[in-house]
Amino acid sequence: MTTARIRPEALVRDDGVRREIYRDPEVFALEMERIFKRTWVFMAHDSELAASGDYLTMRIGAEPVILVRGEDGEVRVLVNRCMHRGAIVCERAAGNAKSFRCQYHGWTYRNDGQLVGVPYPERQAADVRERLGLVALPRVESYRGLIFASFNPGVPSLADYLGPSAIGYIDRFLDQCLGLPLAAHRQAHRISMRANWKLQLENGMDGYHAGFTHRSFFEVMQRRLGTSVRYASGLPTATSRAFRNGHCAIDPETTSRKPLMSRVATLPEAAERLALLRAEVGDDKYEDYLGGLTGAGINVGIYPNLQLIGIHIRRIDPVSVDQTVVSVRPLLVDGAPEQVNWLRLRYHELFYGPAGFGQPDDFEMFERVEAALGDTEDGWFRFERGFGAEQAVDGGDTALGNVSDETPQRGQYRQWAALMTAEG
Amino acid sequence: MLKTENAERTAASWYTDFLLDEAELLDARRLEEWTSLFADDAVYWLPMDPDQAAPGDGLNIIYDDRLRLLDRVSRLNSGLAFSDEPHSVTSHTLSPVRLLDGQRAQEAAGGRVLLPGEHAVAARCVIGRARQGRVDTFHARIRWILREHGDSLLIVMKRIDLLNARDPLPVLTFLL
Repeated sequence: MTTARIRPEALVRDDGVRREIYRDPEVFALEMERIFKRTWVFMAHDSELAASGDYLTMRIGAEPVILVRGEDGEVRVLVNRCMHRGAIVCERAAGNAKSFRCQYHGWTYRNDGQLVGVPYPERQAADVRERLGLVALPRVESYRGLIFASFNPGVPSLADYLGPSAIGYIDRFLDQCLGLPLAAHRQAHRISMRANWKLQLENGMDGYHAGFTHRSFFEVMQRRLGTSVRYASGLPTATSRAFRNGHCAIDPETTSRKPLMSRVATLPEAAERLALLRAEVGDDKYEDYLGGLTGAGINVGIYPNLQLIGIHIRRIDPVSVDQTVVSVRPLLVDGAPEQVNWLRLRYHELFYGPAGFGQPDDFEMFERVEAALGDTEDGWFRFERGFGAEQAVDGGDTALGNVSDETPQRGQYRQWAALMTAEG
Repeated sequence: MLKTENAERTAASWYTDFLLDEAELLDARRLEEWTSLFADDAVYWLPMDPDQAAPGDGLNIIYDDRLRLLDRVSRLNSGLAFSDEPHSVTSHTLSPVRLLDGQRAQEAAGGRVLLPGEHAVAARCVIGRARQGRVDTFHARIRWILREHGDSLLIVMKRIDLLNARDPLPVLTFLL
């Protein structure tokens, strides 16, 4: 790809980014190459592919891929493009298949990528089956059920890429309900927005916006409950953190989940469901489950496309420079009482999804940013809150700021710059 | 109860008039009046799966009981629901309204048992939403459970199945 016009190093500085990174199609094309094909990209939760032959299709950057569990139980990522004349070989979003057949000329691939069927092979070179299997990505690894893949054979191990500080936060998130294992719900909310993917990346780790963007949500809750359910924003003890490789977190640094737990009372059927839960688990465990069903109360971001927030896994899929699809998939608790999982879905619906009381207002802000992308004035977006006041902790693996600081976003753009400016 | 053919025709026009009035309230953005059409035990429901039998059986785009529906309207009227500031303007176009019976009526009830005086009706609906110089069009199959209430009706259930409910959707911060 010719990208001589783009000089990524001129588009970022320590406390800001140029507006071009949200609207220039050439920047987007370079991101798809240098970010999405160079590093680890989040795919799905292991529980979405429970059985041999289960598959999901998606994109890594611009590349269509199939994530599939083979007959040997191994999860592979195959480029979803026939090796013959380039048509998509698997059209469906999800399913179960032992093989994938290109419907253009009938080439058939086993679900491990091996080419097994070529119609009228007598006119084809004898070694066609050995040579032309679907391209398998060289690296697929997972951490506690979170499956990542990379086009880059030289990428460090996933554990090194995540690093101990981010892993600590992933663990806290995944242990959110009495330490019981989590499994992905079969359905996810998916929202299509007319805005650049990085706006969602920034916002998911933004401890500054909630009291403003989401004021209507807090007012609805306050009117229903007679008490404030605001969470973390403005607390001097609440933190934001930037880890290695653009990963980050915001953390209220409190063990109290009361403001989140109190929201549960507003859910449809809450009174009867909570009474059933209390009767089932007893008074001692009731509060633990009530806390657990509202999530860990932290936001964790794994660069470039995964966020763990509330009770959901959020995957950010860039489509074009100004089009993005965001999926928010609730996690259910294996082995928890039925009421816990029932209420988790209602709790998720309260704030998230296309018609939730919170998430749509974030998307509105992204589209307002997009609508204002002119090129007068100085052209910089500012991430300067708390700049210069961060502390290095965890042996240097973490930059620590206040929850309303733009520490996470500065970390994300350090990683953006590192990936985008490296040649080759 | 209405039994004869003429009476059925009258009943169908009764439901139709009621639902056209409902659409008029939405399109005129008289939202608090619109909520007064709903029974205390009403459900306003927008599932993601057309085969989902009851709101509790899966993840929904909207599952509102009456209190949540009042919250939704008060949020939209607060001036702070920024994804609808400035407000959308909508246009609901209903197909002829059909009375559902038997199994189809029970399916429309979302897992409840239909009581005497409750009627299941269905229509196709095209919803145009204009905002900020754009018009988005939504296609839906809508089913209502209507309860006789004095000389009028109340909505006990409004179920909206969007044509593209399983696909990525734009923000839906308006009432369908």
